[in-house]
Amino acid sequence: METLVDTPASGESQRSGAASKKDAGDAGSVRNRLSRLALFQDLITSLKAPGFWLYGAWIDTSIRYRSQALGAFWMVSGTLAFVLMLGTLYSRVLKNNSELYYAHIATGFVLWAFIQQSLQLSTRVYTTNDSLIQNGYVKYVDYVLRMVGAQLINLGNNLVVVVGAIVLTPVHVTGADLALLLTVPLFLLAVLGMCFFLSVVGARYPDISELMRTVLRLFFFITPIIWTHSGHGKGAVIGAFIYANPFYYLIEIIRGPLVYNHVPWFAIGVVSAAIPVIWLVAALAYSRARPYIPLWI
Amino acid sequence: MSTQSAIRAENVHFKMPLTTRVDQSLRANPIAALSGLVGGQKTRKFRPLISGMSFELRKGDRVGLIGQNGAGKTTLLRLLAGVLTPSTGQLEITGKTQNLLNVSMGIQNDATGLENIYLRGYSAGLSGQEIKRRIPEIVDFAALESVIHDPVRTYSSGMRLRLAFAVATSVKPEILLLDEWISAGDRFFVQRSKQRLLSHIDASEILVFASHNAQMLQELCSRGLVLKHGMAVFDGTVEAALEFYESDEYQAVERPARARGNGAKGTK
Repeated sequence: METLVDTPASGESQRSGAASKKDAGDAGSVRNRLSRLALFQDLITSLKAPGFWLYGAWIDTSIRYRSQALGAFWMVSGTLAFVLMLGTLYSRVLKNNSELYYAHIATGFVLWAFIQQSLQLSTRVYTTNDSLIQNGYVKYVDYVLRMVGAQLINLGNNLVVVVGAIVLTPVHVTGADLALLLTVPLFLLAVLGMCFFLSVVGARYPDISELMRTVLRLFFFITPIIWTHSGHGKGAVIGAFIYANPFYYLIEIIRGPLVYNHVPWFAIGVVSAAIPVIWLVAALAYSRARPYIPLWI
Repeated sequence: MSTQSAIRAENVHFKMPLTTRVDQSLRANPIAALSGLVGGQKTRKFRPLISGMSFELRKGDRVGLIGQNGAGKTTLLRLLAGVLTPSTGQLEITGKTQNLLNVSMGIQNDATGLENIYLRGYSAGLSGQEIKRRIPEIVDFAALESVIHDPVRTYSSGMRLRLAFAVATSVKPEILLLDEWISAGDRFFVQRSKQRLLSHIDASEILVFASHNAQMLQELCSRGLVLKHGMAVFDGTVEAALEFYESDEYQAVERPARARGNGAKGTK
């Protein structure tokens, strides 16, 4: 189709102001059609100049907790209360006598909180930064990195609860924990890729945000976070909830080695295979959508 | 930077897709949304905001954008600022653009004044060291020494504007984009900031200034670009441009026909 509708940044549009802002050094260079790899190019630019999003992530976290008397402990206390109460209640309700139950629920919940917040916030990340975008700060990747960065700080804080649960339950540190060196980066890569995809889709379709809220709430219950699959086997019905659930794999690749001293090679394989797909889809969506973002939000 | 700042626009078109909240709603319209994702939307309507604009700005140019509301001044500034991307045509910008279209953008009310200086500095592409070096001068100009560690939400609107203005003008631009707002603000602010703004403008290699204010245009600009219906209808000295803008000739300029220019406009 020869329409220019589909190629807004097409052809000859060489260097818009946005590009020149960053690479004024090679001024005059010709930038061709917005590449399918725009996401990765922008990502490299952002990683080279991390000032804005790193500082922004820190400020966002700091602002949220500076007015609280308990400060950073406030965010940990919520997680702690959740893990203690649900852990105590559900270990009875589910008749789960595993000594590892607290470690199970603490790890699962903390990872879930990170996934859920990151995905939820990315659907609105450009809308919340509307004023900056409309006034010329169009390094879109920065906004996603800033948001995910703030969530990572949160995750780091919440790790206190995980460490506490692991110390208090008889979890052993074994060679399996070495797998975390592989699985933690995989986990982060997968979540970040999803965030980029959702950021674009959320800018185009504002009601994705609501939809995600509902979907994520559902997934919290159908993913083995408060329940465990070990006691039930992985039979037909429960198996479907586990194996057809992307979040199961994401959580399992960290929780398996950390809590159960078991390296879930299958889950690692699934996540490794999914990451290129996620990033490819995100990159395509991003390169197609980028010129339109200021118009949508 | 050895290359000289320059802006070259050649037959630039910008068309705004007309979407409504309903079009954008996935729930109201799931099938259209899905087919749009797969096949590209074929039924979208567009409003042309910039229609075939060509001009060239070189180092030393002080250009005033003149035109009635809706003529495309703001759209052009946003294209130059890199917020918008031309639908078709070439827009080459050589040099670092800085826009003072809205100096208060991105001010975080819960962060302190100092933190906001850092945040704005980083967003302007400065390093931590460079920001640190500029802080005394910024704080001094904004006259906020005593409150720089307080959250910005406790500032008066004047203090906020001074802070934003001081930060925004602390980085010397190559290409400076200015909007009408500079004539706003209270008298005290205008007086205090005028000198700084003028030297900021002097330091820039290219100025693009959109305004209705003939006096300010004559004061700041040497060249005038008159816009109407998204076209550049006059390009000359600022005096001649203002004269043209006042004349009947300007009123007589017709909206461009749909099929004007290169025929491959994608609207079906």
